[in-house]
Amino acid sequence: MNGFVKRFGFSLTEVSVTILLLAIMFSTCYRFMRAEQRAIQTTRQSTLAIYALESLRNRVLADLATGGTFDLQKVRGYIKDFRLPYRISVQQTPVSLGSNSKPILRLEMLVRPTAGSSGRSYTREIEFP
Amino acid sequence: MRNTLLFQSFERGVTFSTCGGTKWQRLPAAVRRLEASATFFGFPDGLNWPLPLHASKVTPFERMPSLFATARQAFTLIEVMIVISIMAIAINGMFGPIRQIFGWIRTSEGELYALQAATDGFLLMKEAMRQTSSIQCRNAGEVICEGGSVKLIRRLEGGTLLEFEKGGGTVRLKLGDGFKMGPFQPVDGQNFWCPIFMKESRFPMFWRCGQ
Repeated sequence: MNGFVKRFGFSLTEVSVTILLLAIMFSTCYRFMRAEQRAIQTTRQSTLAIYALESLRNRVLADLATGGTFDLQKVRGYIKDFRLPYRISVQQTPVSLGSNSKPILRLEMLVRPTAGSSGRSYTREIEFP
Repeated sequence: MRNTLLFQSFERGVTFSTCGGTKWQRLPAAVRRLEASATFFGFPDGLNWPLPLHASKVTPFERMPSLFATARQAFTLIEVMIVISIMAIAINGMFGPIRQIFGWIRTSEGELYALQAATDGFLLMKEAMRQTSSIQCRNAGEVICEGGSVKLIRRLEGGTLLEFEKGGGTVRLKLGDGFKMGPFQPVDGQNFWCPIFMKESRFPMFWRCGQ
């Protein structure tokens, strides 16, 4: 014994600070993991859009190549075969009279905004031959 | 030692014995207060001045530990209650996120691999079909490509493994969990399609030569 106080256990302040630091650590970890999950979700949506829009494009081009005519209702029928969590829309851009531009078919996969992420859309255009 | 030492009274000049027990009461009040104060402030032997502090083998802490030591033996009840309250709030707040974190840690690596494999598969198929002039579906698992560097596209292990035979070798791509290609279905000499399964999504994938 040299005059120093011998301590037993933790003080209330130490326990409270330890819990506070643990909470901060878990909160930071949660934020990082949540950011990673958002990145994965975005990548999944992009991959899905790449496959789905390319598939539609190829199907429309195959129809046109075999002498078929373009029909919006027909493309909408193709879209019904797709079971996706996101909506795919198709629209034809109007062509101004007198211009040399060709009509363009625009395929769009729309991801609606949610509480955790902002919405986005993926577009693929087909220029008619 | 204390019994043998004498004190000189500051007030009356009378010699007293300090701690004999019987003569203690005869000490003047001022001396008693002085001795008590000296003991209180750390002089181990009270007013036994001939013995210096550093010569004493008994430290002030050992002599009167209650004056110095505040060593805690346990929590008080209110402290235990506060700690339990804080821990309850913290655990209650972190219980859901912690379970979610462990779930994410378990699945995120596999998901990233599956997405990477899906993207690689798309690029390989698209490049193979772009170079191909015509195709021929041999069966539900094989497509013969003509005119490009890829000679044969093979679907193995229930559509979770793709194999691309080239002139110089074979490229194998293992698709991740939750992603697979269904059987190849011929459309004509330039197109074929296969169902794609990706988690909860399912759709027909059309592949076209030269595109």
